[in-house]
Formats: sequence, structure tokens, C-alpha cells
Amino acid sequence: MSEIATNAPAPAFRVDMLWTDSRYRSRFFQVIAFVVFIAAIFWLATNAKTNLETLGKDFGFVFMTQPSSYDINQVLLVDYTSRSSHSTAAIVGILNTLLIAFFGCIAATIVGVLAGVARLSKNWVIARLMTVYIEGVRNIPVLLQILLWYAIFIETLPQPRAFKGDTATASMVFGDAVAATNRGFYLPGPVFVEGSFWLVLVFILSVVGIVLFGRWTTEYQRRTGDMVPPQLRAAPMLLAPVLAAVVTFLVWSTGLLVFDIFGGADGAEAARFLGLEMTLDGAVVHVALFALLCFVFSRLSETAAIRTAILIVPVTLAFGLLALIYGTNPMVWDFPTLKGFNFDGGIHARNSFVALWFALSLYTGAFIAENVRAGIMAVAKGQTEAAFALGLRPKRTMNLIILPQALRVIIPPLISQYLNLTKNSSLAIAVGYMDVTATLGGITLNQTGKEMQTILLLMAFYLSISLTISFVMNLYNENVKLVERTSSYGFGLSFANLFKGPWDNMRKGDAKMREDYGVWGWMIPIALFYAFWLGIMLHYVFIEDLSERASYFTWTTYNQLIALLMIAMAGGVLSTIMLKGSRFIDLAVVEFIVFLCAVAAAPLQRLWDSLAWIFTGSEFGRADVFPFGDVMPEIGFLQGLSWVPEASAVFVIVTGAAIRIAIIAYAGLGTRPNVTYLNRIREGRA
Amino acid sequence: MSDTHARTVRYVAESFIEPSPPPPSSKGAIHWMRENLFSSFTNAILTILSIALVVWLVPQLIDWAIVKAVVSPEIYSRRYCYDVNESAQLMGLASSFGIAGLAEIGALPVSEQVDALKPLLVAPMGQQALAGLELTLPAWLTGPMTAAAGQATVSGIEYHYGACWSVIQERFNQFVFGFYPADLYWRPILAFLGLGLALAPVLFNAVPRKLLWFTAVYPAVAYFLIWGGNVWGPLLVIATPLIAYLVYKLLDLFDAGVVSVLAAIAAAVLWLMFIVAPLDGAITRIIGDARYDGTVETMAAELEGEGIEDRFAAEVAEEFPDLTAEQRAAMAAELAGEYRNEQTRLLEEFRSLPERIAEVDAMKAEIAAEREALAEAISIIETYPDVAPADLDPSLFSDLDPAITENLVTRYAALLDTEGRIAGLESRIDAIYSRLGLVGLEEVESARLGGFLLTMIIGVVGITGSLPIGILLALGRKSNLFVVRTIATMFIEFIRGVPLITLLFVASTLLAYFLPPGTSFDLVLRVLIMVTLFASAYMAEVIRGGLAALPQGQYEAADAMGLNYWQSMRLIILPQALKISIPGIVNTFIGLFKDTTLVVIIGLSDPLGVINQIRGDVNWGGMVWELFSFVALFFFIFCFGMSRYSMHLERKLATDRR
Repeated sequence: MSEIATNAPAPAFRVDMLWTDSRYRSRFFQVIAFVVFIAAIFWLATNAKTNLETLGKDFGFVFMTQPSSYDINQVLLVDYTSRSSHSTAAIVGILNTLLIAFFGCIAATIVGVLAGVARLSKNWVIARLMTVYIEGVRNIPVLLQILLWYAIFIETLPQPRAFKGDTATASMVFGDAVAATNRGFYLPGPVFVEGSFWLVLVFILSVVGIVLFGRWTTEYQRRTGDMVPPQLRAAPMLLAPVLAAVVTFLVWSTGLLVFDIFGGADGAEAARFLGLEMTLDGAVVHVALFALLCFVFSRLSETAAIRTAILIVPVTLAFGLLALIYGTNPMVWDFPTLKGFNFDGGIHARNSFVALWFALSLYTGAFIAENVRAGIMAVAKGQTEAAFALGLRPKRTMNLIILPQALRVIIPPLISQYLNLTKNSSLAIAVGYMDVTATLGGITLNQTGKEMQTILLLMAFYLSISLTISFVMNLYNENVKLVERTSSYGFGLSFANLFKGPWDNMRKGDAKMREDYGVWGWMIPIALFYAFWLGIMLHYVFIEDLSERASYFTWTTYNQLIALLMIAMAGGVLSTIMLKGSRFIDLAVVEFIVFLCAVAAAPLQRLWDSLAWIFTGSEFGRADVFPFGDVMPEIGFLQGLSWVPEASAVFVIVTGAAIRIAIIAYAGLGTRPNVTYLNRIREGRA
Repeated sequence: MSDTHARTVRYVAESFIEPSPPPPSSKGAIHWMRENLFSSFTNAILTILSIALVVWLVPQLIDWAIVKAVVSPEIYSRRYCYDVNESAQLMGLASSFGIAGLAEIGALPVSEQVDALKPLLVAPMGQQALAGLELTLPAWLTGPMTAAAGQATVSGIEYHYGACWSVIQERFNQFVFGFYPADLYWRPILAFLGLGLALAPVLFNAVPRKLLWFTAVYPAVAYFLIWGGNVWGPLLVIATPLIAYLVYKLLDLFDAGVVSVLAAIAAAVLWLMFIVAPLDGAITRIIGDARYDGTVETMAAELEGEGIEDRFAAEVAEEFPDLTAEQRAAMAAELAGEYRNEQTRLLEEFRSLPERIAEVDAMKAEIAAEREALAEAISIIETYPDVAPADLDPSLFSDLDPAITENLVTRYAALLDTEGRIAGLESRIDAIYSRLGLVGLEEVESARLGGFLLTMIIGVVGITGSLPIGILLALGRKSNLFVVRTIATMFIEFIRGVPLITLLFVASTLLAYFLPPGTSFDLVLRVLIMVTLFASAYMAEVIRGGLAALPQGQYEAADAMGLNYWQSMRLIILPQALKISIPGIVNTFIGLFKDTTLVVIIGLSDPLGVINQIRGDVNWGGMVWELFSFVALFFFIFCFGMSRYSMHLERKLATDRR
């Protein structure tokens, strides 16, 4: 008689069960991986410490507050001289990077969309030409293209001197408004004079008006099924002459008319810009312009005509009124003129900037063109046919059926192309454009010899931009992706399990959820929240005066504790309410933990100081050091035994920043677009 | 149609109606053009504009690149190209006026032809201008013309220049090899051919599988060929898998399971990190010692004899037959002198070797004694690394012998100083041994690598290195193990978040900090490491896309078959996932290949660096199009070729659908 063991005793633990038994195996390997990882980090850090010590270098950031003593040829928004600090130089560089990225993205989008659509065009010649452009540009290194454009500008454009005198061998273009020289491009720049405030205000109000009108039409269509009320159907035909008259007036007013009628000064300047004289020729041109505009506007749709009217009519009226009131135009053009051997006035776009801009836009544009093409081809032909069958006109079909579906495919890779453009803008250093790589990673690095710090800061800058963009991209993806059976949400490990709430039974695709799951609404408070913290920390790091730095946080422990707690909780609660998504609960919780660490660091440090005092009799630490206290000047953890107390605050700041970045990444790194699928579409086989 | 049909047939059609030909307006070239070129007003305008653009651009391009291009010049300079173009243009003008004696002018050197032609052209061109013909006249005619024609307005003639390909001819070797020694070009060429051989079994199924062994050892072979140096290093590196395998087998005897795999990996790492370099050094020393006497004797004998001068004289005579005997003698003497100096210096170094070794040994013995004497004091000093020995509290040393504490600071400083000198001497001795005990090829410094050779090295290493690392990272990121997944994700997102140029900065300035003190290896190798890491992060994302695209059922089926993780990955998942990822992988390759140009920013002379050097040359200053289009063409051919190959590969492997 055998007894069936219903509860077999667990076998005794043997060592080899660590890697043979599935109960222990995964943990065993994770521990090994973790130990190896930590050992590797430790090894690298120890080496770095020893090597820095040998070279007599420290790991402080004080050098960022010292005078940079170099000039930067393009400074925006910030006051900068060679006596400003390295940190100011870095900020100038950052602004220059953002400038080139901004203009580059705009130009690349325009080029890319045009080329992508043109490559799909039925027109054989255009399609072939675009193929040549796209394949040619895509397969040549971008650095080569940047250098080529730069070399062309430097070698082939005339010197400013060539514009001088009666025997000038070069002349300005667009009616003496633009000069292309080997020192750069000189363009007319707008100058806002008296009354321009009201002009800008009216413009902003017009933009707001357009947004409101858009909301109203959407709402109206939802309610009634009509795009616009029937009485507005004739809007294009009615508005066309008005708009044409207004635009003609604008053209004239920046040219001659306003000056003549309202007694403005220097009409000739503006006339030069347009290349028009107030002669019979000019009148004919304006009549022709009026007729053309009438034709164009009458072909607009109802909503487009009204939008255009909202945009330009008030601004023009304001322009005329202000000119009447103040006696001069509220906005005039400053033209570049030859003074001595160089141009003066207007905007000076350096060749390095223009070369970089051209090259990056054309290069990235070629990639965007492929994305656009893939996106449009990804929309099944049946969609177009179905739309036609419903009686939609081709333009409506494009706007209402094709584009919304194509954008779902286009936008994610488009944004990562923007990211690539931003990262590629670091090649500016090759043509001497002073972006952040050239200032912080170039001259500052060479002058101060602080490779470690400058490159870390540089990487942190690019990393934060990249992660922010990929964060936005993933939010967009979450918002537009098709709801499928397998669409899971969030990661397996989540603090959300600690907070049971209504979000638990809300999943992507719930009709109830869609309504208030807009991306942009809650992006703003989050962005502000992070910007606030980042700003405080950066400000602290870059304070020049050390005593000022020490008193940056003069609160008592409890004040700080309470303030930090309140901010953390407010941020967490805010994000939780707005997001209803588990990941942002994680965010709040981790924020909270970070601040707890920050608070705990101070007592730890005190403890360590006391111990050090007891055992060695020497006073290593400082008594009143607090998380954000005066610790940055000498970071001790590279200087031997006493690293723990001094490093604590640094540790908090650095890990705080790192964890924040990690959280952004964590929240952002959801599902990615299916790269393979996109590629297949790109090759035209889907 | 249906009406006629209804009349002929009562109920049901008994026969098909023959299809009629399409109407003339919907077939043929006219129809195609109407459909594809002139389908609407806008389209027609666009078509005409584009055709106009092509018609305007292409002939100019052909004219520049081929018709007027200057190749095989007598003199390598930009001025020469200009002269050729200018004199050809003036020659054409002159012959159209029927001027005699052009043949004689044509026989002159090119640089003089233009000046000889100018006076001949003044008279006929002045007449033409007077006759009211629309001629643009050269600027140098302004003086004579105003005298001759009075009121005629003149402007400069527009010379049309062609491409000056002679710059590529002159600098071709530099574009391809950088500053690689010219007599060693066979080595990179051989390495390149070897690359073809190594890739063949990977790319084509028809090639015998045995060749894969060559593929496996190829990296070490290529390294040895390109950089030269001792053969031991590459051999020991090739032996690494063997060591790992031996350790694995050994532990497998004890049935250690997965531990033996880990131990094998650890053994390989330890072997590479701690054994290869010392072993290499030791072998070199043994061989160097064995050869010492012979080498020194041979060199001394050579320096004493006249053989050197004769050899160089013969070489010069062969290389430069055009020169006069005096010029040849001078050149040979100069070369021989240089060689002689170099050899003398080397010989002195060799002769000083025993002396240096003795010196080092003596110093070592000395400081060993000193260290022992100061042992206790040193242990106290080293307890406080932050404090200079002079500033330490004297009471700390109160227990020690006063004889020691008296001059402690100076003695300790002297000790450290001697240790530094020993390290310096030892590295000097190592350098001498590495010349003396050389078994292999002449060493070529990384700084001499350049041009397309450098591009190919970085590209090929990055591509081959990034694929396996990328696969591991992708698997790590998809792993169930939290720690592994987090590490892989952090690594990938970090690398993808920063521009390559910052990583190259790390390679050029920062990487050395993270290595054990005293380690130094050259810039190209550091760049290779960073480029490989960079590419592998992108590769990981592409492969992850492929893994994600596989239906979940494939994973489950593999589990159901009872395969373990690595088996299921190797046999089921990866073959399918990699196949799906091919376009992405090749795109990454193309991107990497293009990105190799970035190394010019940290001072390596890749093709763009060569362009910069040429543009800085007086003879070629201001050249743009020829140089850039040449390099661009190279990259275009490679990148475009790769993308076409990937499409071919995709079609070949598309077994499942379509």
C-alpha cells in the first residue's frame, strides 16, 4: 500500500538549484548582472578618480562661474561679453543650438512635405526629379553637405567690398534689400517703433480669434452637421475683394501709399524693398495683384476665407490707424547698407548659420519626404474610393480622410527626424557656428581643461532634449494609436498598485476616457513643474558668488522639509488628477522618495561628521551643510576617504536630476512605432 | 451597346463580343504624356519648368565635368587648369577669326599661351565690336579697345572653366590611404581583399562553409596587416575563444552547468585584460634578447660600409630618370644621410639597452630597501591621502625612530620621484625591445591612417561590432529580468539621446580617464570603440522592432517545444526577427557609414580631412566642387549600393508572403 504524498516536502536547497531551478534562476542571474554592473561602474569611477587625482584635476563646477574670456560671434537674447562666465557662454550656445534647430525643423518640414508629395505625384518628371534629390541627398554624409555649402558661400560669393562704388562687380538682390557676401547674408530686419505694441496685440488677438472660430465651427458641425451656417456659404465670394484690397493695401502701405497719405517718412526705402516705384507701372502691377488675389481668395473654402479674413483684416486696419495716429508706420524695415567696407543695419545671417541651415534642412527634408510618402501610401486605396463613393470632393477627401490617417504614421518618425536634426546641429562646430557644442564642448573645454564636467553637461543637455522629445512623441502615440486587443498599458511594475482608484478600470480605448485624455492640456503643468525644478538647480549651480551660493537656501530644516513635501505632493496630485494614468503616479511617488532622500541626507551628513570628529579628532565636515548648501565648490568624493559627507548633497542633486530624467524616459518609453513596418512601406512593398 | 445586344439575342448571350481596341486618345505616347505630364494646368507648368531645369543644368554639368575637364596635366596646380581652359577658349576664338600661326602658339607651354594669344585677338575683336556685334570682350582688352573704338563699352570676357580633376589625380593616394607609407600600400589592399574573402561566406550561400574559419580570424589578421607590429598580440587575441572553450570543457567535466559558461566568459575577459599584454611583452623580450648581439653587429657593419650610399643612388636612379646626374647625386646623398642618422640613433639606443636595464634594476633594489625602511611612516602618510606629508601632524609619527622622522618628507618625495623615473625608463626599454624583438610587420601609427581607408576601417568595424552587441542589447531590453532590462534600456536611451560628436569627444578626451591609470591606446581604437557602441544602440532598437513584429505565438510555440531561452532565440525567434529587420539594419549601416565622416572634427584625416588639407594647399586653394563631388560620389556609391543590396536580400528572404 502506497501512500500518495499530497504535500511533497520541498527538496532541500542545493547550490546548483540557483541556476537549475526556475524558482531561483531569474533572481540569481539578476543578482549576478547587478553585481557585475555595479562592479563595472565602480571600476570606471575608481579609475576616473585616480586619473583625475594624478593630473591634479577636481570634479567641481566652479569653473563655470569664471570669466570665459572668449568672444562669440552670434549672441541672442543674453548679454554676453568675453568677461561673462562660462555658464553664460554655454547658455548662449544653447540658444544658438535651439535657433538652428527651430529654423531647420521648419524648413525641413516644408522641403520634406513638398518633396514627399511630389515624389508620389502622377507627374513623371517631377517624381523622377524628386527621387534624384532624395536618393542623392540621403546617401551623402551630412557633414560633407554642410562643409560644401559653407565652402560655396565662402569661395563663390563676392566680398562686401565688391558692392562698393560705381564699378561695383556685385549687386544686391530683391530691390537692393538682400546682400549675399562671403561674410554672410544681409537681410532687411523689421524695426518695431512707436505703436507697434498695439499692432502685435491685434495680431495675437487675431490668432486667438482664429482658434476660437475653429472651435466654434467644429462645435457647430457636431451640432448641426453643416460645416458653417448657410448664410456664410457665400463668404469666399464676398470676402475675396475685401481681402484682395486689404493685401494690396498692405503691400502698398509698407511701400508707398501710407507714407504719401499719412505723411510717413522715407517711403523710398520701402519702395526699394519691393522694387516698385509709384508710377504707372506700379499701378498696373497693383491692379494685376488685386485681380490675382481676388481669384485666389474666391477659390478658398468658407472656413479658410473667414480665417484669412480674421488674420489679416484687423492687422491691416490697425496698421493704417496706428500710422494715422502716430504719424509713422508702427513697423518699418531696417535695410542693410554699405558702410565703409562692410554692410551695416538689418539682419546679418552668417555664412556658417546659413550653410548649416541649408544643409540640415535639405538633408533632413529628404528623410521627412520619405516619411511623408510612407504615411500617404500607408492609407489604403479603399479609403479614397470610399470617400469618393460618399461624394466627397478630392480636397475634402485629402483633408478629412487621408491626412488624419496618414498623420498617424507620419508624425512619430517626423518628430524623431526633428530630433536627428537637433543632434546633427552639433556639427556646427565644423563650420564655426557657435552652438553649445562649440562653446561648452569646444572653447570652454579647451580653455579650462575640464573635459569630464563639460562633456557631462553637454551630454545632459542633448539627453534632456532627446528624452523630452521622445516623451512628447510617445504621448502622441498613446493618443492616436489604434485600440487593439493587445494594447496593454504601462509597465508590469508600478506604484499604482498602491493607490487603488478609478483609473484602475480605465484603460486606453474606453470611450469615457477619450474625452479628457488630451495630451496638450496636461503637458503644460508637467513641463512647468520640471522647468521650475531644473531652473532652481541650474540657477544654484551657476551662482557666481560663493557666499551668495551658501545662502541660496536660508530656510531652516523644517521649512525646507515642508516646502519640498508640499511641492512634491502638489506635483504628484496634480499629475495624478490630470493624467489618471498609473505612470504618473509612479512619477509622483518617486519624486517624493527623492525629496525624502534629500531631507535625509542632512542628518546623515551630521552623523558622519560627528563620527569623523569622534574618531579622528579633526573637523572634516561643515556643521550646517544642507542638501542644497555650499557643497558644489569642492566635491569631495574624488578626494579620498571623506567623500560621504561632502558628496551627500551632490548626490541628491545629481541623482535627483538623473531620476527625473529617468522618469521622463520611463514615462515616455512606451510603445514605439513599428519600425519594420515603416521601412517596408518606405521600400514600397506594403 | 446593350440595346444592340438585346436585339440580336433573345434571352442570353451565346457569344462574347470581341473586345474593341481602345480609342486612339487613350493609348500610346500622347496618352501617356497627357496622363503623366500635362494632366492639369499646374502639372503642365511644373513639367515644363522641370524639363527646362534639366535641359539647363545637365549640359552645363557635362561640359564642366567631362568636356572642359582637365586631366593628366603637366603641372599639378589649379593655375594650370585655368590656363588650359583659358587658352582653349581663346584658341577657339582666334581660329574663328582665321588668325594664322596658332600651331606655333599651341606648341608653347600652356601657361604662356594665353599671353601669346591676347595681342593677336585685339584687332579682330575690336572690329567685331565696331561692326555692332554683341560681343563681350575681355577686361584686358579695355585699354586697346577704348583707343581703337572710342565709344564702345566693354566688359570682361567670361571664361568657362571645367573641372580640374588633376587635383584628384595628384592626391588620389592620399584620398585612399591618408598618410600611410607608400611602400606599404600592399598591406591595406591585402586587408581589403581579405575582407571580401571573409564576407563571401556570410553574404553568399554558394561559398564553401569552411571559409567561415577565415571570417572568424579575419579581424585579427586585418588589424595585424594595417597596424603592423608584433604578431603575438593578434595571435593571442585569436586564441581567446580557444581559452574560453578549454575552460568551459574543463568545468563541464564537473557538470557545472551554467557556471561553466560564466566561467568561460570570465576567463576570456581575464585573458584579454590581464594576460595578453604581459605575455606579448615577455615573448618580445625573449626574442629581443636572443637577437640583440646579431642585430647590433649587423647595424654597426652596415653603418661602417658604403653600402647605404650605393643603395640609395641606385634607387634614385631608378625612380627619377628625368633628373640630371648632379640632382640625383644630391638627392641620394640627402636620403642616405637621413637614413644614416636614423640608423645611428637607433643603434645607440640599442647599445644603451643593457645599461638602462642595469640602471633600472639598481634603482629598484635601492627603493625596495628604502620602502622597507620607511614602511611604517609610509603607511601613516598614505592613511591621509588628502594631506600633504609636510602638513601632517608630527605627533602621528611620535612612535617611530627619530632617524626616520627627521628627513621623512624629503625621503618620501625622493622615493616617489624615483618610482616615476623607473616607470619612464621601463617604458623606454619596452619601446626599444618592441623594435628589437619585432616578429611581424613594420608598425604603422594610427595617425598615418586616413582617407577612405580610415572610413572603411571605422565603417566595417562599427558594422560588424554593432550587430552582435545590438542583438544582445535588444534581447536584454526585451528580457523578463528587471535588472537586465533596465540596464539595457538605460544604455540604449543614453546613447541614442546624445549626438555622435559628443561620444567622439569622449573618445578623444575622456575615455582615457575611465581606464586603469597608465593605459593608453591610440585615438583610432578609442574612436572604434565609441562608434561601435553608438551603432549598437541604434541596431538594438531596429532588432527590437523585429522582435516585436513577431507574433506572440512564435515565442509560445518555441516554449511549447521545450526549447530553453537561448535555443528558442537562436533557432526560432532571431532568424525570423533579423529577417524582418533587414531594411532597418542596413539603414543603420548606411547611417553609420555616413557618420564616420564626423571623425574629422576630432582631428583624424578621413576624406573630409584630406579635403581640408588640400584646400589649405597653395596650389589648390579655393577648390570646392571637384573635391567634394569626388568624396560625395564615393559615399553615394557605397550607401546606395548597400540600400539596393538590402532590397535584393529582402526579396530573396521573403519566403512567407507575397
